[in-house]
Amino acid sequence: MSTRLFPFLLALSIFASACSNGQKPAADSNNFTEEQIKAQDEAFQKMMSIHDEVMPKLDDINRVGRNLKPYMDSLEDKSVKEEINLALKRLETAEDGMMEWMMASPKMGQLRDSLSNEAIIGLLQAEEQKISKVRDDMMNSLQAAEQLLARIQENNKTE
Amino acid sequence: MTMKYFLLFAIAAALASCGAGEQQQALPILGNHQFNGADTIYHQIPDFAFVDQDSNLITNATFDGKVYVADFFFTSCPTICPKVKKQMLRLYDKYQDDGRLKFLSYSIDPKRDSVGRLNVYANNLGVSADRWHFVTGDKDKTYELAEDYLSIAREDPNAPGGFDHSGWLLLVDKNRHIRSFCDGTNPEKVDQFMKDIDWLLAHM
Repeated sequence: MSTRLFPFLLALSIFASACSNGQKPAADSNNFTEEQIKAQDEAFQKMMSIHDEVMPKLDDINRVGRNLKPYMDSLEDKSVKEEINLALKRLETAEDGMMEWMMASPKMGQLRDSLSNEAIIGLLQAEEQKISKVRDDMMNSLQAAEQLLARIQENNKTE
Repeated sequence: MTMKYFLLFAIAAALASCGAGEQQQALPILGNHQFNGADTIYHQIPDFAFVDQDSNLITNATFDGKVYVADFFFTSCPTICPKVKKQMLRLYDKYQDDGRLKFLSYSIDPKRDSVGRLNVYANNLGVSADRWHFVTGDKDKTYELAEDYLSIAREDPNAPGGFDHSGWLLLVDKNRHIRSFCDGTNPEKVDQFMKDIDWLLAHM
């Protein structure tokens, strides 16, 4: 009897798990539907793609700063020195913005443990706005510093 | 007669396939070398001095006679660094009985990654400071060093090229030469990297 019962029970458990997989919410979902999980993941990716876009610029920001700094000692023109000083401050502020955004950036697991779907989507959209501002600060400060450096290097060449 | 030749062929094929599976190519010396007539001056990691999570001064001399795996990171990194650290832990665990291999993680965010913060980070990973140094120091010097470590990009189009490729692991030998690198976020690439480490340890 048991030899006939076992395969039947095995088949039953396989079917049961296969069926339940379709209805079970996704892992770590805390009762979110699959559609909600998908929307949350998309909102997270949209926010993070902006971060990914500007992360490499940290290297450029540091490099232009390193190239500008020696001119603080070598140049005599006070107004140019002041421009360099301001450019360096803008670069540092932009970099701080990125580092601090990353430190505070949302972790999906924590959000899903404590917030509703609407709150999660709202928070991710707000963070997307914040990282967009960080991106703009980084790109603007970088462009301004690179233009200043190019001008100084050009002026120094002709002297 | 045919059977004898078949048997010999089968044995030869088996031996050849065993050999091919175990062969590890000798690791090149990577980087921008200088050529001076007949001499080649191989790239070396420049001098550095930083402080680690236990407030120890860490310099090139810390790694005398050792090989080490290096990476550049920061503690608040949201996506790449946790993946890289997970892979580095695989390496740390695999080579726990081999004191010739060390680990060196440079923070590119010294403003926020203080010694104390690095200490907490290292303790959370459960690693010991005498094997894995998390260091912090002058930011510009750190970036210059990163550019140097990652300068192998100029030789190899597939190699790292800056923080758009953050997450790279680099293998440095006892003569301060870079011998290998891999994408530290990719477990399969790290599997291959382990073979490179094995080769380097066997050819110290």
